[in-house]
Amino acid sequence: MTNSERYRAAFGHLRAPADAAQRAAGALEHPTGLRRKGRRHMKPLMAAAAILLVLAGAVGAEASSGEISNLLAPLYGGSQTALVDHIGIPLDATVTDNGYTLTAEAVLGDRYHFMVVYTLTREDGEPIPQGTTVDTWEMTHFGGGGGDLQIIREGLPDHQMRLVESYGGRAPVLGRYYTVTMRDLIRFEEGDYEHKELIAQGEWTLGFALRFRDSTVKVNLHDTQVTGIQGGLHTLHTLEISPLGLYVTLTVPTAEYHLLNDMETGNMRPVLRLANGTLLDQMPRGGSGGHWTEGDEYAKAHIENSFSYPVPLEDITAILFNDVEIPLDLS
Amino acid sequence: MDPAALEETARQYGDTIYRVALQYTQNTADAEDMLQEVLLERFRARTPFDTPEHERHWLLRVTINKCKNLLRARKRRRTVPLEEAMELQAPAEPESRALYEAVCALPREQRLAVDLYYYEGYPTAEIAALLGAREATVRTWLRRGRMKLKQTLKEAWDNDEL
Repeated sequence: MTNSERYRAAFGHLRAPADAAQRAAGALEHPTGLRRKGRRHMKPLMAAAAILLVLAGAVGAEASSGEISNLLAPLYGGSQTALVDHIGIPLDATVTDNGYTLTAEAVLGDRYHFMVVYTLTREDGEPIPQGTTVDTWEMTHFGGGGGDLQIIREGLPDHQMRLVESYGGRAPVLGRYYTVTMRDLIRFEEGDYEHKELIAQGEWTLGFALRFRDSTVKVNLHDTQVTGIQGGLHTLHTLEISPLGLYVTLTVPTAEYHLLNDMETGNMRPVLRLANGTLLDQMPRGGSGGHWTEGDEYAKAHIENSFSYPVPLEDITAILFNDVEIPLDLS
Repeated sequence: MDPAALEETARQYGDTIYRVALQYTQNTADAEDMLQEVLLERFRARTPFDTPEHERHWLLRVTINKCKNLLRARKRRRTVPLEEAMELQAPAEPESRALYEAVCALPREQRLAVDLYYYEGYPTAEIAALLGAREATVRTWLRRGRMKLKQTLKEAWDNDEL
C-alpha cells in the first residue's frame, strides 16, 4: 500500500453533512449576501426567492395565545406576550432516557440569535431535586458563537423543570438544522462548583430546524464614527435589530479590538433609547468578533447582543455607542 | 448559479471542502460552517470555471481563506460548550487510526500540506498557491510532516521523497 492509499484509508470516511446544500440554501435568507444590480441578477435572486418561499412555508402553525409566552413568563416577567407568541414557533421534539423525558417546546429567535425552551419531566412523578442541572451540554456550532442554559422551576410541578437555552453568534442561524445533546443530571453542593452529585445518568439528543418568524430589520448606519475609550476611531456600518437582539458591523482600530462591547468599561457597548425616554443597556448575553491581516491598522468586526426581554421595534428610537446617539425609525 | 447546481457542487466537492476545513479547524461544527459558507460563495460567484480542476482549486482556496479568518476571529465572552473532538471521528481499523491520530497531531501547516499532497494529489506548487505560501516553505512543511509520521508510525509509513 502506498502512503497515499494509507492516507485515503485513514481519512476517506470523513463526509460532509448530507444536507449541506439545503443548509446553504437556508442561509440565503440573509439578504446581505445578495446585491441587486438590475435585471442581469434577477434570475439567481428569483431562484433564491423560490428557496426562501419553501423554507418560509415550513415555518409551521402560529402559536396560540399564551402558548410560548407562558413558557417564558418567569424570564420575561410576563411582558410582551403577544410579541413572544408571534415570533415563537411551537416544537414537539422529545426524547426519553433513564426515566427522564426532554421535550423541546418552542423556539424563537432572529437572524443571529435563538432561544429554545425545553421541559424535562421525571416520568415516575417523583420530584427532581432542587438545584438539579445538566452536567454537559453540546450544541451545534454555527461559527463564532456560544450559548447558555437557564433553569426555571417556578410555576412547575416538582417532577418537571424548564430549561431555556440561548444562543448568539456571528453567523445567521435562521433555517439551519440544530442538534443539542444534554448528558447527566447533577447538582452542585451549596456554593461549591467543584463537587457535584449525580442525580441521574442519561443522554438526551434532539434535532430540529431553526424556523421561526424573523423580525430582523436592517439599518444603514452610514459609516457613523465613534471615538473609542482609547481615542481610536470606530466606523459603524450596519445594524440588524429584532425584538430579541442586535448585530452591528463596524470597522475598528486593531489595537482597540479587544475593548469592543466591553462590559467592564461600557466601551463600544450598544445602548438603546426607548420611546419613553429610558435607556436599555441590559444585554447580558453578547460578544464580538473580527478579522484582519497581520499589520492591518483596522479590522472588520461585529458586535452581537441579545436583550434581557423582548422589545417591540417601534419602541426603539435610537442606538448609542459611547457618546454618539444615532436616531432610528424602525416603525 | 441555480439551486440544482448548488446541490451538484455540494455532491461533487462537499466532502473535500469539509475534510480540508476539518484539517484546518479540527472542529466538526466549524468545518460544517465553513462548508456552508464556501457553498454560498460558490452560489454567488459569477466567475466561470474553465475546468473542474479550476473550480476545485477555487473552492479549496476559498475554504482555506475562510478557515484562516475564522480562527483569527475567536472572541467570545460567554461559556462555549464542549467541542466535538477530532478523535471521535477516528477510524476503527488500528493502522488507519494510528495514521489518523498521527496526522491530527501535526502542526496545522504540516497537516494541511500532507492532506493536500496525499489525499488531493496536489503538487507542491499548487499547495503553495492554495495555502498562500512559497513552494520552498511547503516542501519544508511536507518534509517535517513526513519525518514525524515516520517516527510515529515506523514501518506503517514509507519513506517517500518529493
